[in-house]
Amino acid sequence: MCTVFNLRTAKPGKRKYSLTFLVLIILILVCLSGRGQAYSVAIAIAVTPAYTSRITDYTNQPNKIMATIINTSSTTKEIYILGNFSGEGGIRIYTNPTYKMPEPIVLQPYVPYIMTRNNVGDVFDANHLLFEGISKNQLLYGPGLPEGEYTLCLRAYDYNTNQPLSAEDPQGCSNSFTVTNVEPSEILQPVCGEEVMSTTPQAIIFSWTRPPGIPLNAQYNLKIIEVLPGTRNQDNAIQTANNPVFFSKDLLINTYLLGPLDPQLVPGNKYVVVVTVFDPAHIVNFRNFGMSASCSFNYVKDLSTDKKKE
Amino acid sequence: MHRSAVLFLFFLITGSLFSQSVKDTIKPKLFTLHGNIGLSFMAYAVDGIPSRQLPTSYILSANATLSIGKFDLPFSFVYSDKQRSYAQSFDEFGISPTYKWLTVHLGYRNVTFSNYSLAGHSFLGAGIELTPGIFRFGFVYGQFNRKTSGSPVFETDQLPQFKRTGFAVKLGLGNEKNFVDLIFQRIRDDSTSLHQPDTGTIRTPEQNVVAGINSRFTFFKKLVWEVEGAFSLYTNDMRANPSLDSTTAPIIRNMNKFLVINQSSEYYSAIRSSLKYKSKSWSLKLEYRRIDPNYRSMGAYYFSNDLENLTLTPSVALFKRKLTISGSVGMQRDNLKGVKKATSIRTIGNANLSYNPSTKFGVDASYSNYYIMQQAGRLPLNDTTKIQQVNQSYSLMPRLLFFNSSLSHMIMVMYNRSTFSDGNQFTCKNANFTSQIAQLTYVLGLVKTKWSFSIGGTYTTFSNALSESTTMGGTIGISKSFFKDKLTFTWNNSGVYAQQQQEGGWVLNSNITGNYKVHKHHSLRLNLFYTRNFSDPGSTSVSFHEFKGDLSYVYSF
Repeated sequence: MCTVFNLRTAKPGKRKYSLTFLVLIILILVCLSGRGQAYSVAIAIAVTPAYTSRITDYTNQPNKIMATIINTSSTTKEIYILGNFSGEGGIRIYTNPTYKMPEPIVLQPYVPYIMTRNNVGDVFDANHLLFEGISKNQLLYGPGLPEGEYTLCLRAYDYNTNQPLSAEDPQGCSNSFTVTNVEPSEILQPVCGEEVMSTTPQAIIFSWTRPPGIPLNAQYNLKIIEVLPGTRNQDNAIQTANNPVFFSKDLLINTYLLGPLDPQLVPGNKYVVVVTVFDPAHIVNFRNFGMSASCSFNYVKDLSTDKKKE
Repeated sequence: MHRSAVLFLFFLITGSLFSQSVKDTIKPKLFTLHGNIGLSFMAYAVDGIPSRQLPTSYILSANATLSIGKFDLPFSFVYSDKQRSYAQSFDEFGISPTYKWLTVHLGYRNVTFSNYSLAGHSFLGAGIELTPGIFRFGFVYGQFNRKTSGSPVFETDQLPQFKRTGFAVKLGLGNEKNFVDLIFQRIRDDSTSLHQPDTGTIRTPEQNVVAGINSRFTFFKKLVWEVEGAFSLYTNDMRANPSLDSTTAPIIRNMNKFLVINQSSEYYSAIRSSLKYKSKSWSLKLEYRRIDPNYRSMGAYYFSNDLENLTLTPSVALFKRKLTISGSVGMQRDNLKGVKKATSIRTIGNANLSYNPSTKFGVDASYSNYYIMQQAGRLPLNDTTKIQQVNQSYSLMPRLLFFNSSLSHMIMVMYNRSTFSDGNQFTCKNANFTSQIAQLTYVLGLVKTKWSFSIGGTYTTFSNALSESTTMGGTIGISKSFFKDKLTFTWNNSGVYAQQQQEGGWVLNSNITGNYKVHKHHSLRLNLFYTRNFSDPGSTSVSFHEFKGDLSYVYSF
C-alpha cells in the first residue's frame, strides 16, 4: 500500500516534520519498487494532529497537511492537484474538478516535491470547493467539520492535458483520522466562589468532570494559583501567572486531595483553580487547549479560630 | 526592589498627608481617602525535594478611593518582582475617577457591559461611562493582551501571543433597575506584533466582533427579569483567503461591509434569561442559557459553551433565620448543532443547610450531585467509551459551644465524603473513587487571659482501583491575644501518619500566625509554615523539610 498514515505519537517541532518527510519519501520509494508503474506520479500524505473541526486549521497551519510528490518518469512534469476531504455520514468536500492551481507544480524526475502551505491553500480554498453532506456555511461559518473519521486524498493531474498522473483513491490518501472537539473539564469541587474553611492539617478535595469524548488514557493537569493581591480578577491571575505556580500536578484521575505534604494554603488568601485535560498522544482536539473555565475560592480561617475571639 | 520602596514611601506619605489634611486643615466631608496599601515579603526554603516556590518575592499593592466632595477617585496598583515577558503584565495601575454620572477609566481596568461581550477582561487603556438621566453610554478602548513570548506555565498552550487591541461601546436607556443596553465590540490581534516561524504550530492573528443586548426589568421591587444575548463573529486567522459569494449567509455578507471576514470566520450566538423573585425570607430564581458551540468573545475570559441549561435556584430562611436552606437544580445538554458524535445530558444539583437553633449548637450540611450520561448524537454510541457517571459530595459540620465568665468550650466535627461512580463497565474499574475527610477539634478558651488551647484528631482516606491512601493523626494548637487584642498569636501543629499502598511516613505541619495592629492605620501580619516529612526506611518517597513565610504590612486609611 502506497499511501499511509498519521504520525499519531508525534509532538510539534522541526524534528518531527523532518522525520515525517523522510518517512514519506521512503514510503513512496518502497511503493514504487513493489508495484507496476501505471501512473508517473506518486503522492504520500500525512496529516498531523490535533484534528480540529476547522478546515482552515489544515490549510493555514504550516505542515499540518504534509504531502510529498515524486515524479517517477524520466521527464519533467507540470502538474496541478485536486483534493478531497471525506468523512463519515456522507460528508465530502472536494476541489472543483474544473479548477486548476494558478501556477503548475513542476516535478523534476525522481526529485521529491514537498507541497507548500500555499499549494495546500490553493487546493482547499473554499472559493472553489464543492460540498456534499455539509453546506459551505456550516463548514466555514458554523460548527465546522462534524466529529468523526475523515480521510484526506490528493490526486495529481497534468497541467496541460488534464490527464490524471497519480493513482486514484485509496492511493494518494492519508490514513483515517478522527476529528474531535472535546470540551474541557468542569470544576465541581470546590464550588466556584465559595469559602473553603482552613483545617490543620490541610485537606481539600478538588474534583472535576471527565469530559465526554476523551480517550481512555487522557490525563489532567491541576493548577492552583494564588491570587495576588486578592482583589485581582481571577482570570487575570491566570494570565499573569508565572513559574513556579502555587501548585501544579499531572493526574490520571479526575480528583485530588490536597494534603499535608502539598504546598500550604494561606488562610485569608484567594486561590484560583484550572484543570487542563490533555491527550498524551496529542491526537484529540480540546476546546480552549483543554483548559477549564477558572474557579476561585477564598481560603478562610477555620471556625475554631474565629470562635476563640468570642 | 528599589523602585518598589520608593513607590511605597510615596503612597505612604501621600496617604499620611491626606489623612492629616482630613483631620487638620480641610473639612472632613470634603476630602476623604479610604482603602489600603500593603507591602508583602515572601520567603521560602526547602531541602530534600525540588523547590516549589521562589526563594524570595515581594508585592506592593493598593486599593483605595480618594473622594473630593462628590468626586471619587478609586484607584489600584500592583508592583512586584513577578513581571515576566511570557505572561500578561502582573504589575498594573488603574484609576476610575467618578463624578456624579460620569466615570472615566484609565490604566489597567476590568469593565463589564454584559456576560457575552465585554465581560471583565482586563485591558490597558481608557474608557468612559455616562449615565445622565435615563441615558447610558459606555466606551472603552485599549490593549486586551500584550505581546508575549512562549509561556512555560500552561503546557498545552505555549505559543507566543499577539498584541491585541480593540474597543467596546454601549448605548442604552434606563437605570440600574430597568435598562436596555445595546453593545458593540471589536477586538483584534496586531499581526505585525509577532514574528511567526515558517514551520511548526503557529498562533494565527484573530479578530472578534460582538453585537449584543443586555437588559433588566424590575417589577414590584422584588421581581427581576434579565435578558441578554449576543452574536459573535470570530475570525480565527485574519490572513486566510476571502470567501464570500452569493451562497454566503446574508448576515455575513452585510457584516463584511465593515469587517474582515474570510474562510476562517465563524459566527455564534449566546442568550441568557433569568427571572428572580426575592423577599425577606425566601427567593427563587429560574435561569435559561443557550450558548453555541465555540462561542467566544475577546472581551471575556473562557467560559463553557455548547450548552443549553435550565436552572432553578431556591433559598429560604425559617424560624427567625435559624434555619436557612438553599440549593439549585439544573438540566443541561450539549451538541446544539448536532455535530458531535454523542449528546451528553447532565443534571446538576446541590443543597445547603445551616441550622443554628441556639448559641450552643449549630450545624452546616451540604450535598451536591453531578450526573452525566450520553445519548446517540451524530453517530451510534460506542459502549466502550459511553459516559454515564455521577459525582456526589456530602459534608456535615456540627458544633457545640459552651461558655461562662471564665471558660469556653467548643467541640467541632467536620466530615466530608466524595464519590465518583462510573456506570460504564469498561472504564469503571479504574475510574471509581471515594474520599473521606474527618476532623474532630476541641477548643478550650480562658476568657479572662485570652488564652485558648485546641486539640483534635484527623483522618482522611482516598481510594480507587490504582491506589489507596490514608492519613491519620492529631493536632494541637495554642493562641493568645495581647494588648487588648491588638496582637494575636496562633500556633497550630499537626502530626499525621500518611500511608499509601505499602509505603508510609510521618508528616508534621506547623503554622504560626501573628497579627499586630500597631496603630489605627498600621498593621502587620506574619505567617510561617513548616512542613517536615519523614518517609519510612525503604520508601520510594523522599524525606524533606520545607519552610515558607510571609510578612505583610498594611496601611489602612
